[in-house]
Amino acid sequence: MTAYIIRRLLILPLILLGVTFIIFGMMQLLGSDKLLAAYVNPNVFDKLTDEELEALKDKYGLNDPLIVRYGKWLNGVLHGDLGWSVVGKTYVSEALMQRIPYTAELALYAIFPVIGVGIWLGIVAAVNHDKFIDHAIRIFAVIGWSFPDFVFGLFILMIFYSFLGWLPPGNFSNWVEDAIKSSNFHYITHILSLDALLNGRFDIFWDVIRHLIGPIITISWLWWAYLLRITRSSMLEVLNKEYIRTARAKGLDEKVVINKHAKRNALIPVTTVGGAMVINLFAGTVIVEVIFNRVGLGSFVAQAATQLDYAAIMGGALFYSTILVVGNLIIDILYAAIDPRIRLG
Amino acid sequence: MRVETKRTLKRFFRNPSAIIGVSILVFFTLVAIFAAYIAPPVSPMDPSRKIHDPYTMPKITWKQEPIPPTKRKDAEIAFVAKGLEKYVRKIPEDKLRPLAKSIIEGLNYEGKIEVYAKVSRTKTKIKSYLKDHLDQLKEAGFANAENLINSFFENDLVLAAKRSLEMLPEFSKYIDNLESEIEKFRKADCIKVVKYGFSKLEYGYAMKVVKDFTGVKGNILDWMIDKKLINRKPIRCVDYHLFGMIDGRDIFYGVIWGTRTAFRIGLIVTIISTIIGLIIGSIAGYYGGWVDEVLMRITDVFLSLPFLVAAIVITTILGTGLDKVMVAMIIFGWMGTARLIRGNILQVKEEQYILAAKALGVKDFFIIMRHVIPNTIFPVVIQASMRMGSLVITAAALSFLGLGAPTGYADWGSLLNYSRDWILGAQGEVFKYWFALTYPGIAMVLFVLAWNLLGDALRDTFDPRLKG
Amino acid sequence: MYVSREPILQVKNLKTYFYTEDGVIKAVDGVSFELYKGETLGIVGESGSGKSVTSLTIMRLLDEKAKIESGEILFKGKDLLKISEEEMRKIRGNDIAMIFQEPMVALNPVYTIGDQIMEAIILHQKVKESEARKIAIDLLRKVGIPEPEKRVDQYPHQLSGGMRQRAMIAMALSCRPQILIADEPTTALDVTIQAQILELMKELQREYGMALIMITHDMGVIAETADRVAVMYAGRVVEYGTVDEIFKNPKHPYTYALLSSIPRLDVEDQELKSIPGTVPDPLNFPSGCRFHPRCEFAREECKNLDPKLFEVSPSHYTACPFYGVLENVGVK
Repeated sequence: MTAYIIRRLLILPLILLGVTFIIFGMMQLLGSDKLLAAYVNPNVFDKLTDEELEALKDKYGLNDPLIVRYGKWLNGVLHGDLGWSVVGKTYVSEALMQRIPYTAELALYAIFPVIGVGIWLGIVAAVNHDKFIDHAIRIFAVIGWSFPDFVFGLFILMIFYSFLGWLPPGNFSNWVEDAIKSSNFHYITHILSLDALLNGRFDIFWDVIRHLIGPIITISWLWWAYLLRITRSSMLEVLNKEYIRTARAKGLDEKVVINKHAKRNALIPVTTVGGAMVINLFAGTVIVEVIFNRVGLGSFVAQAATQLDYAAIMGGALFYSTILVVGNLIIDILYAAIDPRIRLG
Repeated sequence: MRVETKRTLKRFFRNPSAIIGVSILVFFTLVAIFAAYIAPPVSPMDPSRKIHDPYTMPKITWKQEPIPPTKRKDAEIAFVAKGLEKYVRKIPEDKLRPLAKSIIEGLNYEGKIEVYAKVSRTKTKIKSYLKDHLDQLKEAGFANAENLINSFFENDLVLAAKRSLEMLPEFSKYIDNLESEIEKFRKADCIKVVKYGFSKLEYGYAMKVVKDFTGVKGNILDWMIDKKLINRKPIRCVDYHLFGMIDGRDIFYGVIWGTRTAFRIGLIVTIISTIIGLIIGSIAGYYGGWVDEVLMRITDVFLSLPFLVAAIVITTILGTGLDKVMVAMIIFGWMGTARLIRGNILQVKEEQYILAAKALGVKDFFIIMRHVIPNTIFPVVIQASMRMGSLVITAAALSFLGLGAPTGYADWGSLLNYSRDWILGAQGEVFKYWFALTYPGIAMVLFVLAWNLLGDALRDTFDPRLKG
Repeated sequence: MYVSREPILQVKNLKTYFYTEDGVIKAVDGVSFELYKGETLGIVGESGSGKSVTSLTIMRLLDEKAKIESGEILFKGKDLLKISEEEMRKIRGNDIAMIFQEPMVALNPVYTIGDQIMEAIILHQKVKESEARKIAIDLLRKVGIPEPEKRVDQYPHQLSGGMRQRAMIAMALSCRPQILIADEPTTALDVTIQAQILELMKELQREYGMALIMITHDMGVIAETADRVAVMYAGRVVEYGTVDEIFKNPKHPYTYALLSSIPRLDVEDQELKSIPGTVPDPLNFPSGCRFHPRCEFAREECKNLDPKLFEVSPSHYTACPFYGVLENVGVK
């Protein structure tokens, strides 16, 4: 167990290094001209002669060997220097920091309904294998699995915002913006709904939650489908195991068999998936944030992509992959901790 | 073995998921194959096409009130001049070359018309081509077409406008034809959704007119949805456009030809990324040791970027376009197969019969060929069919974000992107533009659903763990 | 050993069918036998002969795909197929216990051995947890597990295969059942450990006075443990008698073939026979006597035989009406 964790911890920086190299390498595909454009005023850029261009490339080190440039860039990244974002009109690192709380808030609130309901549905389906309810849940899953989130999100907006007027897009209403900018609103966690509660502003809290429901529903269906399929097949596999038969042969109540003997075993592999899902919720917010017109990491990256703000895209990608790598490590360690076969073996 | 195969097939085709999935896929395949018949491309692909055919005229919608005669002349003049101006501006000298190139490429692609292939890249040759077809234009009633063409290619805006005025008599006829179209619209009771008048017709329509006059067309590729109106608003008019229009484009056309796009993206990306995964996975699994370690760490690195984010990064670097989207999805799509194959090979390597074969001195390569492939091919196929759906979704998501298919491309994601601005409906009519979202949405969901059902059924049939 | 003539379990004309997508599998097709108090009944047959399904039917532990078509299972005069699931649950583990083939997978990997033994004790004997723990440790000691106080808190994967099977036995015995069904209890174990486990089971049977159903494909295990034997082939009992009768005087060609395929230490230059052909496809059993395609004595009539048992002696039955032919051959 300890050896396993140490091994994983040793590999971690290697993988992160690989990720930075891939991102840097992709950036080099742009060619030095485009990379230079990131440093030079575009109005001036068009009028430069070839000699002047070369001189500028030398100045910014764009003619250095790849490895030297990579080293310089990596050094910058390690010091938090990700460049200047045109879209964010500030440093990339700062632009990211401004937006992360919004995405984190969305992911945070989405996790509970997604994981809870997803696992529950999967278990219900497996326990009622091949009965009506199982078929119904499976149909629900396969449709959710096939429904692109951007289509589903647009339908949600059409019905719940446009028709019923319940779930407005955006992060919060206009009056909230004024309220949170006033001096008597204190930022503590930077996660708006929590700050609202800590400030005792339940009206703000409710407004923020109301803006979160639509995106959460949109995210949920796909992830429910995903999670319940995995839970279901894991549960079915476990229910076919001999030790379940042993438990039944002891004369245990079916409820005890399922709740005590089957569930725990079935949920061990689901942990990995569930954990990976939590991480992917961060990445999965790109589309949802765009549809619901939310400020956040995902919509920032999407906007940067359409406006060719390379520095911002690279910064965003780097942030996402760091979360993914570190998150996966945590999950693997958790997984090892849950399963006695790994913990003690 | 044969009995077993028969039973497996029987089981597969008795599975409701398989029946539904396969039927939907067969339906989509037929739609893709016969797209040209279901939704014929409205472009001058066929030189024998009658130029002045009212049914190839734009099916536009008109405002309710007829335009007073006094205003009509002004409108006509303004319309033609404006249209030509914008059209000429649209094709500056240096752009003419790529345009011609795209025409030739587009035609070569279909291989339908040899005449067009003869058209070379130079402007003069296009002109001479048009001159060759002057007779046809004249036949169609455009006596002054020659002048128009000349001035058009001399980039002389004023002259073009002037000459187009000379053509007004013919143009009036043209408009009369359109008037009778309006009557049809009225009868079809479509007029209530119609809000446009002459003065509102901008270059989109004018472009169409010039195209019809000259035979030159920018969007000649049949997987482009013809832009018939400048107005982007969704318009519903079942008689002319079954699924309505959005962004001045026919949704039905987009949905039908989008089927081809979906198949192309899904199949190409799935096949290539699966092959890459197969190669990398089998090398890693077979050689083991440090080769395995290195390849698997590389796989980990590639898995460390969320798929959608990775695709966004690559398309921004390579530029938009479906080919770029496919490249992005291939680069970040092989890891699943690689891991699957590696795992299977490692497992099979431990099996008794492999050890037995090795002990008998059978060459390693043959062992892999004989034992590993039959054991791993089904999981790979199942995984690939499951991936088809999500790949098509990702490609559409990129188009939806404006990073995928170019504007006007017959692609479900693009159609959904257009509809995004209109889902809030109009004042008092919340669901007014429902069709803009619903039709491409349904096509997309059904397509993905079919692949997922197929994958599900395959897994149910072949995965021994779930066998009842 | 005292064997009563009072049947504790009677299985009458039991039919268990599996309805699969490929067709109906007649896993158990008209099986009858009795189990007397304190005796050991061996059920022997190749894999797929329906012996395991029979035992699972007795426990009513089959999944939804299986359907019990007809038959009775009388336990102390009560038909187990007619009682409610609630009543059945009280019998399971308490009156009838079962040991499974693979001790590796028959124990839940995420709970300790002690947990799993105590569960049944708490359930059926309604004792406190501390009490149950004591009983569990005693049981572990009784089945020969060293340091039971330590082992009780260990997880299955920390025990060896033999230890796990001993723990399984302890679990099965925790409520002093009247019948113990052992489904191939030694197949997955090393030969040396096999003998130990069988010895242990015999000992415990004597001590507890249980009736034992020993299900196996291994004639050796049968010879060592059983008092009476039912030989099963393709879902039917083909021969039924005392262990002496079966081994010394087999009256069915299948039993004969099974016995000829065992190597014997007391015969020199022995020619080992294997049974020709393969186990029949369960979806498509041959008509008449199901063994006839593989039987070296098969005749034309065998294709239309009724599935019934002929009496050879009051304790010995066979499904083969032409068992006379075996007289001339004798067991080598």
